[in-house]
Amino acid sequence: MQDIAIAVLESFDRYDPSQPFAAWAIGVARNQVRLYFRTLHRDRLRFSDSIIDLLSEDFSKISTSELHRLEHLQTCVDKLDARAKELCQARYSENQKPAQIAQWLGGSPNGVAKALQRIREQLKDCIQRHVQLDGGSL
Amino acid sequence: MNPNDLELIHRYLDGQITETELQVFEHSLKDSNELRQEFVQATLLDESLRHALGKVVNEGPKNESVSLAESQVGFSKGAIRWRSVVVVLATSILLLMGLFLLSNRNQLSASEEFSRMLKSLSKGDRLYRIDVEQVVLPSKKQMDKYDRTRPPKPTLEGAKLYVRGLDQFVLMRFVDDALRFVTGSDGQIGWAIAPSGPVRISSDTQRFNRDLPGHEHSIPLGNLSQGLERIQKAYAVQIVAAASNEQFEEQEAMLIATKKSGERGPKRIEIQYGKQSGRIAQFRFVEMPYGPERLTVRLILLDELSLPDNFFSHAYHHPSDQDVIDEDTEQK
Repeated sequence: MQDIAIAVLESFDRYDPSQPFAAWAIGVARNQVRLYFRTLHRDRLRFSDSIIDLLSEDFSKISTSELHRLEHLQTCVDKLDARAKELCQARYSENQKPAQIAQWLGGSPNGVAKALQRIREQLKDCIQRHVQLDGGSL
Repeated sequence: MNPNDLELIHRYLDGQITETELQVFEHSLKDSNELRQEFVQATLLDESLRHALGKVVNEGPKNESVSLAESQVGFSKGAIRWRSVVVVLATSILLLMGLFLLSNRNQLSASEEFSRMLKSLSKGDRLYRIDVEQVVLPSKKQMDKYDRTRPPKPTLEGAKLYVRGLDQFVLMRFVDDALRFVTGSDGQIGWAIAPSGPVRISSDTQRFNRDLPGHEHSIPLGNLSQGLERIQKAYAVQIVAAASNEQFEEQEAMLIATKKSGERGPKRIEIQYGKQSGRIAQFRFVEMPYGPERLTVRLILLDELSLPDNFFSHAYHHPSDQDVIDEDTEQK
């Protein structure tokens, strides 16, 4: 996502002041969102342009308070049990897919995928609890 | 929401989704705003995990630099790494998501914005926390040029900067969570208190501000009017719409200053400030020279305070029986 901000800044010289800026910035941002979905994770299948356009708009509505929630992520990761941490490490640090993780750590690819899903849900709930403890409304 | 759709989100994130499933998933995404929101949130979490558990800096040499710097100054690698993730995301999305650069930027004069900031700075006292997002050590060649007789600067990570008006400051730096170095100026006398030895004071108010972010290229936070003036001269300035600041209940804008060719100083400076009040809520210095290193640091406004009148004087910060050396007299 940092590519988006950098692209907006680096493209600024090409901005034509006679054109509405917001439309131009959204255009740059959309290109970057497309790039994100198409090239960053080559192991994923690609969305169609119409879906990427919809998602670009949705990404544009993320509020700063939603981002602040993520400040609790590290705390929540620290609370995971050893097996969950191992799975996260393999998926996010080693960038391994469930099938590779299953070969490495044991179990079935489907089992690993389900476990990763549970871990993300667990992290989401943990973040939500922390936000509530902080008195947030999200 | 259909549980199958939720599962498809995770299958997509893990690169498990099939062509057929993708078609179904796209159809659901098109139809359901709620599912798209869920997907956006899940992608954000997934990407944050990737950054938090992966590497902060992808390039080899920089990565090595971060590790070296952290080990040298005792940074918490995890803390810096995680802060970097949030900061990168926040910066990106502020730019992407706020729908940004105001449509008629020419109407916004940067100098007017600076004037409003300066006006706001003249009121009350402020406390900023300094976060170090990235440390890049110099190459051997650059290091050779650096004056090795100068002691290494203590870390800025977690430092607190108190500011009053335009030229009074107190910078508190911590080592292993213990307050170790305090430097400041009350606008008339500059001073420094080290962990041991006497307090040093000077009528040169800039004398001890070498540890302030930005001081090396005349953008000292201890003299903000001078700093903002320098930014106007040496940097190309853009104004961007940011977001609402919940703490101070105000809409904010972001001023992005990009260093002009041939000028010295941080590569980019970002100032987030209240559109109405001019209150500076955040500074960010990207690739700021700091001793031999280049740092990316963020200063976050924690509070607006009413500190004691003598808070910016050195006497407030040390026992009355501690030796004080006046460098003006010493030089004579």
